[in-house]
Amino acid sequence: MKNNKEFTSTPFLTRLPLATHKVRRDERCRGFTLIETLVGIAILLLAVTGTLTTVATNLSFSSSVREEVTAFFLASEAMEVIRNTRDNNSLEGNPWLQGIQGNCGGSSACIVDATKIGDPTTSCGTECPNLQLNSAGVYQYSQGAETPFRREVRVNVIHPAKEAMVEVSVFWKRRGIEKSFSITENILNWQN
Amino acid sequence: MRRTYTQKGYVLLLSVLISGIILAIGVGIANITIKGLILASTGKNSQYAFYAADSGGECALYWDINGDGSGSVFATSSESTPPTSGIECSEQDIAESWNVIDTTPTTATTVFVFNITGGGCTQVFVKKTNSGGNTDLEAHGLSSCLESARRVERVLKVSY
Repeated sequence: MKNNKEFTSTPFLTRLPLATHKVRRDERCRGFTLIETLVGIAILLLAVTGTLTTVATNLSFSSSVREEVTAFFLASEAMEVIRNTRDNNSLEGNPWLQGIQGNCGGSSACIVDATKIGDPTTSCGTECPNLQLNSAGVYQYSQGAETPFRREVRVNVIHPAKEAMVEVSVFWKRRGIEKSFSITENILNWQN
Repeated sequence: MRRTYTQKGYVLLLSVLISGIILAIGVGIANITIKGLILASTGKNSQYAFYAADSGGECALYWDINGDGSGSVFATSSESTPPTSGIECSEQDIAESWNVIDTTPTTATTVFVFNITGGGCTQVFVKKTNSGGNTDLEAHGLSSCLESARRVERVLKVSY
């Protein structure tokens, strides 16, 4: 209401400079949209590149976590097979480290195949082969595609009639970097 | 004129909003991965702890069942005199440092600790009765001998 009153009371000529002044102000603001858009794009780019980098790193991390979990289950499996062999030896009246000490107790490591219960160990010689994954999803050494995992079992006989230290190591390569996981357990001849 | 004036900063506001949403999604994904990494590290430590506990259990079973030639080496009552040396597990003499606790005229608990070669510690409690009753064995496996926030403990209990 107040503006309308002023507007009607102002003579036409005196209004002109004000009008031109207004136009000038708008001209000064004209470039703002462009700068604003550029700044907007820059902020969006920063956010998108930042997030994409995080997502890419996360994807590689999650696959490395998957490999690690696979590795520690593989190590656990080999340890269980060795323990199973020891228990079977006791039940069948065999020497307690039969099939373990011969193949795994020397200077070279051995491989353990969980699908060959009864005679699971094989001496490696110079280097142990990588595990293979068959169509049923079982890690073994006779069929299927080769996996990046190599598993070595070493048995250090501390006392021939009493105690042995079993060390299971799983090695795999991730982007050229050698990774490993090993577990150690002492087994004793308490069942004889 | 007034309409253009109110639209000033709109693109900027929109871009900040969209970036905020994108960053929130990124943080969410990073959070999932961090949980995965913690799971992997806990899983690893859990394995160390489990096999440490199992080694402790094996040691106690051997020295309880096979003994040193004259039966179990563990104390069975306040009257029993367990050996003070020559009981070896993982090349460590456990008898040198074991303690007999909670002794009564009919029961006693032996506690011993030893280190696992690959890292990790085990603490074993062997509770026996002198009347030839039950033996309760409790093996506490620790993923590391040093105290830390990430240390995992797993316990195996055997009764026979």
